[in-house]
Amino acid sequence: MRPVRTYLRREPSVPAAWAVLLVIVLIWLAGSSVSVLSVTIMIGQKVPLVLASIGAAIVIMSRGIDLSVGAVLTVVNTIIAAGTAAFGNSLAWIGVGLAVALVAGLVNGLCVAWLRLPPLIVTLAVQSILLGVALYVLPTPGGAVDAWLKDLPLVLVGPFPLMLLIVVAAPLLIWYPLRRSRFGTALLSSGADESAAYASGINVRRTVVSSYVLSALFAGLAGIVMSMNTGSGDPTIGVPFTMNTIAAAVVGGVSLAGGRGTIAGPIAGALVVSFIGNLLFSMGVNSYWQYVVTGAVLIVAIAIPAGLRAIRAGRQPS
Amino acid sequence: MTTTPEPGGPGTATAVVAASHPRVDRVRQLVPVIVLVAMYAITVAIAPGYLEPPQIGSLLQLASILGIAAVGQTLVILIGGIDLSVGAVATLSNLVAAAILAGSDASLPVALLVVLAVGALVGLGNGLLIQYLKVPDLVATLASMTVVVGAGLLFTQGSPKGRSAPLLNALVTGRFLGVLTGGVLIWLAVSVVVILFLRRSAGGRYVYAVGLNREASRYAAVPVGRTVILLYVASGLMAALAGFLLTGYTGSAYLASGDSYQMQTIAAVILGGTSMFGGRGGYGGTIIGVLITVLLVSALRVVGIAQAGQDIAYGVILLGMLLLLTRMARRSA
Repeated sequence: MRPVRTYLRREPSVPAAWAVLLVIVLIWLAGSSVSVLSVTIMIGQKVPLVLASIGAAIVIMSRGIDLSVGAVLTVVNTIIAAGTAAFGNSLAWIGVGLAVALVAGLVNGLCVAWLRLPPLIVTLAVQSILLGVALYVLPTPGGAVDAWLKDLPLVLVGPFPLMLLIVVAAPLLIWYPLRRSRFGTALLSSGADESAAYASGINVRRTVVSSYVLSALFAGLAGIVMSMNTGSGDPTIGVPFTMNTIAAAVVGGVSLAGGRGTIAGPIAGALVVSFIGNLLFSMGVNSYWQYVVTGAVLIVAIAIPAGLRAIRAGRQPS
Repeated sequence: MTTTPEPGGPGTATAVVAASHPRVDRVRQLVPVIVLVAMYAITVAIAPGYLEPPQIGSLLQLASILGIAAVGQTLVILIGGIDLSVGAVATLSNLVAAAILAGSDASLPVALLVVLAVGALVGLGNGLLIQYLKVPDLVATLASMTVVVGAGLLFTQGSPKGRSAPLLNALVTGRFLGVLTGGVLIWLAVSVVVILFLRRSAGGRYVYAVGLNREASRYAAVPVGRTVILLYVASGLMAALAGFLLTGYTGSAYLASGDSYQMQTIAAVILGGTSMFGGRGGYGGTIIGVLITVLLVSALRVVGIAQAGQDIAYGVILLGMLLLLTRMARRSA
């Protein structure tokens, strides 16, 4: 019981985000007719944001910010679609796309950690470069992907959609080993206090570089799933993703001040952010309200824990 | 990101009061000017048309709107903040202005007042979230940006209506003396006011003090909370004014018309030598940053580089400038 209570005390936003998600999904289920196929497709559509948010959250934990997430996703998507359309063999182009994504992450990380440039502007510049590359690779929406890739989101493993398993497996297989490793400790301590981490013998620079590379890797994986879902490419597809990944991380309790956060939180956050649209649609509300509700959720998600912490600390917010 | 003082930066009380570190600041001011002059020389060498008044005029016309939108961004970055809602506010202002004007000069004062009120309200919301609920600047303005985008969609129901008034069109696009427009004159006036405010007024001192060290400022009886909130209100107001002028420039309203200002204003402020960490820089630098941005985008287009190449070059130059500025400022510090 004790570890659970410690976890709840330390990360109150994570169960809160999952609870909100549960309520949203239940209301949504009550108000709409669902089939195995429609749910499978819908979960597949949520996976890119979930994956991209994991990456964005890792960078935020190291006290950075990554504005290039959406552009990395776009570049991978256009490389796969344009490459397959011209030469076939999606698998090879997935490799090329991921290689480009990793290079972009490495550039972000080196500029931030070694050249000590502000992450906001670095990743903004890299975003611009990547969007240019995407536009060069695929000037207009189109392209193609192999049939097997397109069918992947519809695959069922037993009664469960494959994509649902990916959402569940991502934290279990990637995050928990990572968090328990030296890197996990290094990541959170570098984010919490850079000089203290350095004094404790942690290679802060390498940790920060790794966080940007991981972010690009997850954004690249998101781009692959995006290509499966749409079966084509679009040089503007990723633009809204960047801001949504930050929103997902914040809703999931990752602190922008660095040093705190989980992966279960951002996953719930990403699902909350993207389910708001489904919910409003099934309730028959004008879909434009989606933006207003998302903004409100974002403010509430961050203001309530901040207020609680201020009260617990026993001082008035000045 | 918001409150970390720059390594080696001054945190002492005297530095807060004086708010300057002459050699570093001179480098910060000089590098952007050199880059602008060099870029202009190269552009003219490739496309001599850039020496002609009509070309300079159209550059200034674009620069005036971006420059006004960048006023607020400069002010909030000077206190170590950031405003992601600038683009969304400019777009909403464009949508609202066109709908109210509906092509009639008589509605100009009403439209301007409504638009400015909306901008101020968004800015006030940002300021209160940041100062009283302690929401990080990035998240607060990200949230308000999302709400404002939604408000624009709800207001227009997805199909913008209305168009600009003839007087506003003439003000923003009508040339006189070869290169000037009314919009450029408004930009000049705003620039003078902002620079005088930052350099000569007590309020300007507060901005630099809050940007360098909030804790020390509080002990020095600087009204930190009021300064933060008012600067975000100013940012909302200026973004709204930019959206209003944008209405005169485009003649009508488009969804997402001002969205590019979100990142362009941040880039212009940084290209102008203002530090992301707050407390260093000023609006004079931003003017240069705005001119660099506008010249770069226009020159790449004229030389015949496609959008893809423009995006790539823009990113590379932004990164290069940032590196140059940081290196030189650090060496002289």
